[in-house]
Amino acid sequence: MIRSIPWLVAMLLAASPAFAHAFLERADPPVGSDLPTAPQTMTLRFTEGIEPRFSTIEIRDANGAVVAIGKPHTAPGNDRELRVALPELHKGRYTVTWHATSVDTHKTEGSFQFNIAP
Amino acid sequence: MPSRKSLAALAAASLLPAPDAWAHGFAGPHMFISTLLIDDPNVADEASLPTFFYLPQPTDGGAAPKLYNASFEFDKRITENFGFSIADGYSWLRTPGTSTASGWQNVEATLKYKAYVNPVHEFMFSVGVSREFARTGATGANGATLDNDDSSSTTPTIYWGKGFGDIPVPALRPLALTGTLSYTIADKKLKIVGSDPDSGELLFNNGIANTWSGGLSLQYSFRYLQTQVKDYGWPEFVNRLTPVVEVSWSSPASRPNLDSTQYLVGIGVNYTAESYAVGVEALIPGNKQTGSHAGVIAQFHLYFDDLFPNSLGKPIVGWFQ
Repeated sequence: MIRSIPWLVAMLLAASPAFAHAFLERADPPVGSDLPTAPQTMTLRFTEGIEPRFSTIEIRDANGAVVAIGKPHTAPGNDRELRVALPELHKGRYTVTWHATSVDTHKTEGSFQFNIAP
Repeated sequence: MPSRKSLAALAAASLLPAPDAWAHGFAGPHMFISTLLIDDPNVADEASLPTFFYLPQPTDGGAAPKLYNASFEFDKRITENFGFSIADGYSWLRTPGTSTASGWQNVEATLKYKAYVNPVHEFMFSVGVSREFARTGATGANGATLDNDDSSSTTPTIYWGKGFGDIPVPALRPLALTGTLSYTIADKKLKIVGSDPDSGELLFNNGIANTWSGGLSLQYSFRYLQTQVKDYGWPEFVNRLTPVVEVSWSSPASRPNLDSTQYLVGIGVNYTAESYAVGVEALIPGNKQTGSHAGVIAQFHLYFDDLFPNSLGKPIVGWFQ
């Protein structure tokens, strides 16, 4: 048991207390919003830095059809924001489903809707 | 040999929030908070350090004895879904006109397995078994006054949590219901060993009765409301709050027994940050056998999986990979 103590101390010292689960802090378009015009980009801002290679955004229209979008990427100099360009969206309700992996590999997920009603 | 009168002194001790791991956990997008009166269904790497508990005890009409307790609990995953916890606490019972009784509670250890998670329906189910080790806390007259059992016991428990995210009423989707159901099996059963020749009062051995216990919590997550239903633009501090109502209950399950059925209600709020949580609840005795006046419980909770993701925060099996 004695021999394991330095190893345990070293492990604790190596801990990285700066990271955690990435909660969704804000979305643009906002969660549950009614928009007068179609948005051109989607931005999800998280409480922690995220890893874009392991984070996804999926958008479906009111009929359940997947909207073709590109691979989301983090904003330059800000790994807490996940962005993706949107195609021309028609009026109607859209469902966004996201999966985020924080930089310390914690996974979170969520889903919300927004409505375009010119 | 304790009499019925002396053992009834600390009515709410069986509802003390020390023994288990009030962890947090996700089922899909729903996060079950660290509840204070019952354990939540998740298995995680975390600690409650400390939990403060205060509740005036039942009284026959005089000044109520006041119970204070400070407890801690440490939880560690062995594998991704299997872990253990260890918990203990220190109690003070201040009875007007007498000296204060104080001492450690018995140590309790728990093994817990998260058996099933359904992310789509935000459901989680776990099973566990706890062991209270007799005479690891205060003993003798002090221990009896603090209701420390002289018999060890084993408690199988089921835990579950259900988020309401799959129901069609948007305003109710941030709700979640969690619960526990336990059965405590005493190593040494309580028995009548005679009666006092002067008073006629029954005398018992130092065993304990088997007990049913459990509880429910109803939570409303502002974080879930903001990120899943509708963002009202509230400040981030508000979005981290979860109002919660909890009910814990215990009832004797074998005869003879010295305890009454007790209910304790907690109404309060939880603040959950990335690596810690703070919970505060007002305690309301559900019957006169539980307490005489309102009390309070507060907890500071640390999430090791977020604080130390590369060491204490990951399962023990992961340390060797």
